[in-house]
This record gives sequence, C-alpha cells and structure tokens, in this order.
Amino acid sequence: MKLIRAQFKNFRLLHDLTLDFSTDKTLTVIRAENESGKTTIFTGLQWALYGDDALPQKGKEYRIHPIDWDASDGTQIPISVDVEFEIKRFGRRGSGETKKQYRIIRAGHETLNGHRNDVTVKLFELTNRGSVPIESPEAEIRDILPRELREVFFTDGDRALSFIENVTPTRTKRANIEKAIRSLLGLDVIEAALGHVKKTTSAFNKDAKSFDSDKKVTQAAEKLEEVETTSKRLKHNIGNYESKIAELEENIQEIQKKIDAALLKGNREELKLDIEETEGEVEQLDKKLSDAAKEHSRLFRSLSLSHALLAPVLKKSLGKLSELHTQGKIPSATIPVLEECLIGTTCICGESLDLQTIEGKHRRENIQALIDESRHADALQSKLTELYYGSRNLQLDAIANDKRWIAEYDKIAEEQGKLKSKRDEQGKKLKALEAQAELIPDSNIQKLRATEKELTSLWKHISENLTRAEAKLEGLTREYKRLAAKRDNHLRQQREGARILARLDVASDVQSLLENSYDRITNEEMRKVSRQMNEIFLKMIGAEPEQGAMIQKAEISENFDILVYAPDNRELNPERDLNGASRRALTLAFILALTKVSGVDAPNVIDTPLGMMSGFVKQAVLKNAIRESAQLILFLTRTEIADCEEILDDEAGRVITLTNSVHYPKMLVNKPQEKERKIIRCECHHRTECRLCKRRIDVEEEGQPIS
Amino acid sequence: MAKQYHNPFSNIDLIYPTGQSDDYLLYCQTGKYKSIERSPFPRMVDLWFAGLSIAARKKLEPVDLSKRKTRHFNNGAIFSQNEDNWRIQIVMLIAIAVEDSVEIVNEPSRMMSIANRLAAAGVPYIVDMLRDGNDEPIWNLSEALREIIHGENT
Amino acid sequence: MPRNIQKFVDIIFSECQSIEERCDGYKKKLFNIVIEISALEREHAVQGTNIQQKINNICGVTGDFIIKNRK
Repeated sequence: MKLIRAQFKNFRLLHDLTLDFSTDKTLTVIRAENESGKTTIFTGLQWALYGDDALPQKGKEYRIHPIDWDASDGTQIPISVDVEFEIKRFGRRGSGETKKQYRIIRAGHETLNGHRNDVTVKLFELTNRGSVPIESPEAEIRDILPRELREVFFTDGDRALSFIENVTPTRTKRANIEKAIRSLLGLDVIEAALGHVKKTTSAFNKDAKSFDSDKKVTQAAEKLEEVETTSKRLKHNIGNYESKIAELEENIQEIQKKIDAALLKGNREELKLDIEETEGEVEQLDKKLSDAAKEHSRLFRSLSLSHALLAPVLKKSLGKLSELHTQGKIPSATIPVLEECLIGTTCICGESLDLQTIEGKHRRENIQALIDESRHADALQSKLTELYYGSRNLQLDAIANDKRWIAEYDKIAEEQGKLKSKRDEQGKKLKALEAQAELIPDSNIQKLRATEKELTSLWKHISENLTRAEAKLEGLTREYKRLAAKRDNHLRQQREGARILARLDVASDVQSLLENSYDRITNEEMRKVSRQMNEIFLKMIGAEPEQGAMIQKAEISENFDILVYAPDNRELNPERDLNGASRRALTLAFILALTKVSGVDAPNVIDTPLGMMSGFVKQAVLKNAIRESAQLILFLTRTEIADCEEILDDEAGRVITLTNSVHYPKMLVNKPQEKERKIIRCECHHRTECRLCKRRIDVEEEGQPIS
Repeated sequence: MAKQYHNPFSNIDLIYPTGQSDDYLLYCQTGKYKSIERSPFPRMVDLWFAGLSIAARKKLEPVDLSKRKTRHFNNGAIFSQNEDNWRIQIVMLIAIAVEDSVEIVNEPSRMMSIANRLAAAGVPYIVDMLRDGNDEPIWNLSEALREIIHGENT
Repeated sequence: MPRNIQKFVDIIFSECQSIEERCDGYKKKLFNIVIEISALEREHAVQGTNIQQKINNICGVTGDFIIKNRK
C-alpha cells in the first residue's frame, strides 16, 4: 500500500489541509516544528483507516473538531478525513503486478461537546470509469493494513522507544515486542482456533459429566467444570488487568513525556520561585543603588569638595590670617595655654608658679595680666582670631587633601558600577525567566507528578492483582490436569467412557498441536526479525563487528527482550549503555525489520525519527530507513533536517512545510492572514522558506536583529 | 572643625536670581524630581554653595543682584545645621580673598552679599556641567568636577 | 490463515510427528483436521459460521476414528 493523498477537514487544528505524498520516490518529508500538527495528522490518518479505535483512549472523550470552532457557524461540525492510496496486487499465474487506487472517506458530525454522530466510512476503487464503491470497507482495510500492525506502520519516534526503554516495565516491553511479532504473522487465526478447541474440550467434559454409569466420573467432570469456570473468570480478569495496565502505562508515559517537555522548558513552580528570588535580589540591588546614589549626592555637599575646589582661594585668605598671626595681630593660643599654666604649679618655661613663694606668686600675677590684655583685643581681632583658630584644621586639610574628593568619588563610582552591572545581570535574568514562564504550558509539573504518582500507585495495585490472578490460574491449571487425569482414569474403566475419552484426547492433541506450532512460528519469525533488525541497526550506527566495534550485534531473545552485545558477548543494557541516537536507531531498525519480515507492503509514517541524533548516525539512519521502507513518510523538525539536506536533495520525492498560525509573534516572523488557530501548508522544502513559514530562530541565526 | 562656632550669618538671607528658579527646581532633590541621578543636589543650599565655590575657584565675575529680581530661599542659619558650620568659615575666607582684606569679617551682610553674588555667577556654570555630557546629570557633573580638580590641582 | 501459509502447514506437519499415534493413521488424520479447522476459522472470520459446532463434530468424529482403528 502506498499513501497518495490525505485531506483533513475540521480535524482538530487541521481546519482544511491537504497533504500529497511522493509516489515515485520512497521518501516524503513533512517539515514541521513542534505543535505544528504532526501528531494530529498522525491520529487523523489512523482514524480514517481504523476508526475510533485508533484515537487516544479509543476515542472516549476525544474531541475531533477544532477547539476554536465558531458556534455561529453551526453546532453540528462536519468532520472528515479522506485518504487516497494505491495497492499492488499480484496476478495468480505470473500475470505480473497490477496497481489499484482506492479512496477511503471517514466523515460525520460532531457536536460542540465532542459527541460524534452519523460517522460513516466509505471505500471506493478509483477506476478509469470513476469511483466504484466497495462493500464492507472495514474488512478490506483489515486485509490491506492489518490492525495489529498499526503501531508499526505509524511510528512515533518517542513512543517507539517503549520497545527498549526501561521506563516501560519489562513485562510490557516483552509483551509489546511479542505482540508486534505475532501480529505481523497474522496468527489471529490460530488464536481463534485455540479458543474454539478449548470449548470443544469443555463440551466433551460435559458429556462425561452426564455419563451416569459411574458417579466418580461425574464428580470429577463437575469439579473440572468448576475449575474451568473459575479459570475462565480469572482469565477474563487477567485480560482486564492487562489492558488496564497497558492503558495506565500509556497514560504514565504520556505524563512523563509532558513532564519531560515541561522540564525542558522549565518547571513553572521552580520558575516562580526563581522569579521571586531574582525579584528579591533586584529589589535589594535597587536599594543598594539608591543608597549609593545618596552617597554620591552627599559628595556635592561635602567638605572635601569645597577643599578641592577652593584650595587656591583658601590659600590666599589663610595666608593673610597667617601673616597677621606672624605679625602678632592675631594672638596665638596664649590664653588657653596660660590659663592651663595657672592650674598647675610649674610654668611652661620650667619656672615655679608656686603660690607659696614670692616669685611664684609674682609670676602668676604676670600671667593673669597677659590673659587680661589678650581679652581686651578689639572685635576685629577677636573675629579673626576665632576664624584663624577655627580654620586651622581647614587650612591643613585644604593643602594635604585636595584630592580627597576624587578618591571618594572614584570609590563611589566603582561601587555603583559594580552594583549596576549586577543589577543589569539580575534584570536580564528576571526577563529571561519571565519569558520562559510565559512559554510553559498551563500544565504544571507538580500537578503532573501528582497524577503520575496516582497512576503509578494504581498500576502497582492492578499489577499485584494480576500477579495474584496469574498464580491462582497456574494452580487451577495444575488442578485441572490432575482432575482430567482422574476423570480419564475413571472413563477408561467404563466401556462407554472410552468414546468420550478418545474425543477428549483428540481435542487435547489439536490444542497442543496448535499451541506448539504457534510458538514455533513465532520463534522462527522472531529470529528472522532479529537478524534483519541487527543488520539494519549496525548499518545505521556504522558499527563494523570485524573491526572490533563497541557494539557487535543486537538481537531479540527468546523472552522477547531486545538485547545488545559488546565484544566477548558482553551484554549491554540498551537503556543505560546506548546513547539516545543509538537507542532510537535500534527501535527504528526493529520497526523496519518487522515491516519487512511481515511482507506487508505498507508505508512507514514516522514522527520525529531523527531526534537526539547528529552527524554520521543521523545520516545513516535516514539513508537506511529510506532503503528498507516501501514508502517512508517522515515528519521532521528543522533541527532534525540539519546535516541531512543533501540526502533529502537526492531522495525526497516531496517536501512540504507546515506552520501553526498561533506561533506568531513568538516564533514566526510574519503575521499570518488566518484569523483562527490553524495549520498552514506551504510548498517550501528543506532548503527554503517563505513569508508564511519564516521563523524567528532563522532570523536569529542569520544575525539579523529581531524587530 | 569647631562645632560651637559663632554663626554671624544666622539672620542673613540666602538668595538667587529669580531667573535661576528652574535650575534650583530641577537639580535639587527638594525640587521637582526625586531622582538623585537627575537632581544630584540634596538641598538648594548645596547647589548655591557649589555655585559659590566654582565661582570663587574660577574667579567668575559676581552677579550684580541689586538690578535683578531675586528669591530668598533660606538664611545663614542653615550653615549651623548638619555639621555644615565649616561653611561659615569658608564664606568668610572667600570674602577675605575677594576683597583682599580681612576687615570684611566685621560685616556679615557684605560677606553674604559677596557669597550670594558669586553663587549667582557660579550656578549657571554648574548647570552647564550638569547638562554637558551624555550621561545623567549626576555623572556629567561628577566627571566635570573631577576634571577641574584633577587637572588644575596637579 | 496466517500470512505465510506454506510455513504454517510445514510446521503443523512437523509438530504432528511428536504426537502419540493413538491408532493407525491418527497423525495424518490429526494433521488434516488441524488444516481443516484453520480453514474453517478463516471462513468464520468473514462469514460468521457456526464454527464451534463444526469443531466439536470434527473432534468427535476423529475420536470415533480412534476407537474404530485402535489395535
């Protein structure tokens, strides 16, 4: 099968989008960044082919119509996905291959609250004479694209990792691989036959019960019936538990993905704390800056400024005062000195001032006279004296510290400079944090983690129930065998019993034959997938075992584990020992190998196949995926395309670009004309861009300023 | 510095020409703007004193205030506040230098008149320094003062 | 039927060899009825036949075959 064209109408963000896929070359590339409708296209294509079962949670509470649908345009929203495809058929007697084209249309209406009604699916064969409707389209599609292989044909690069990653419990990981392998073999017929044969055994057991000649047989048969009923109930419960567990695991993975995405962008709560902390720091720095500015301002009323500015002026005045002092017009500080002398008994000259002596008394009288004389100096002298003595410090300072102001200013300027650059830094940090916070989706990590915890605890609870049920069933199976042997023993002793016993033997033989064949086919095909996977994987990572490569081989074990080996057969843990690129390569190799071994001619639609890859591995993965696939449709981001342009130049039969209108103005340079949020298609390929799809990141990369 | 210094200017007015009102309003924090960067002088007396100092330093011609409309904004008592009383001596020393005579210390009004006239001459010079430059006034002024002090004192 | 029919047939045939020969021709008979049951299952998937009864009958008749041909 090859996809030719798909048209989406009112399928979530896809208001009206047509995609056409390359039919002459293997590869079609849809260039789209995150949130540009990739997952929606994925879901839409699968919905068209498989119906509500292909929607998340089988379509329960899954709204299809666009969230921003204008109710004035009607409350019954027409929804549809229309897919054209081509099937190769081989004639029976070597008549060669013929190609037929079909068109499947799944369409209906949805109410504003998401209730779907009158959804129908129609399949047409497109012939030269026009469209010919085909009866029971579901059965036809089942044959063309087996439902069980849906996840192999439509691969989400991230989700595919569940085949190998440890986040998936071993049980599910193995079950996923086992399921994928058994699905590709189409063993559903054997499974159905097994179910019917088991019922046949029950029916024969009933015959044994009603066979009345011996109560012992009846008793054993009745007990067997009881065991069978209990086993049936247990199996039913186990089935329920398993599907519940699978659903929970899917939900948990989805939440983990959201948490990872949110963590990449930042944790809203943590960001909030960061923002608050930074705001606090900014506030403190602003206060410090304001204090520093006040300090700066104080410099303009400081003595040091006056000294510095007035030094030449003051020198002149102070010189005058000094001169007066020298001339004795301004008394020196005799008064206080003399007064101090009078307090003691010795003069500064060393003579005695003792009142008891005549000389001392005389000297004291002289000193007092000098004090009185000084006190009688005129008002001018008094003022000049006051000024002279008052400004003595000023004079010294003025001469000695005329640069003091500069030093003070330099210190303040330096301090302010440091504070300002810190403030700028914090201001930028705050802006960046705020911008980051704006980008974070509404989901907050704490809430998601709480949900994850809740689901994990539920998962544990159900897993425990499952283990208990399985243990009980194992016991019942043993009990069944014991009772059956007992019944058979009693039957053997009866003539009529032999007939029932023979029938039971046949049913038992058919059952074990089917079971053994089922396991054998699975094993043999699994080994084929394993070999194929190994081959593709080693090519993708460029490992050459003969040259002692770190990775020697990859295989699928009998327990359905994907194993990777280093030299000397040392087992590597794909999750721990392989890098992200190799892990992805391994899962893609597994999927491509499955498709190839299944022999189903189907497209591989892969979302984000080259994430986390670069250089050689990226190019090798792309080249090998193209080589191993019948039709390869890749959803690639610009980052994934980087370094692979030349391969796309040669191999891509078609490249188109999808853009989400709501990415303006944050990520898109130009304002889209569309009013509603929608996905817009343009014909730009991996090397070009237009007004519609030009993104801001490109502008930044080219070093042009962002307006 | 003498703390208990007698203030001969206690009752004498500090004035500026009315024409400079806007300058006082713009560049003093008691005026129009609260931003220190734009209004570096804490009080009007600080701008007045800076004007006086720069005029004395640059030997600017004192402004004849008798022919101008003036505004009284404070009096000399302010010199005794906030440990600013060194300004009393500086005003006196400037007066001595300008008059080239110590006799003037007996005439507080004349000394203050000299100071008022010099301040009126110096404030426009200060305003030029505030405005001249690409930065905020506080930085323009600081750098200009730095240049004057650094350049002329070395 | 499984996608690779020939392989399926080959494997059923080979697995039959390890089954106890309950009477003459039993293994061959068993091989045939398993192929028949598989064909019936395929028919049932498309047309929704009364397959349970058919399988009961096949196994019943084969049981009688054992009684009749037992040494």
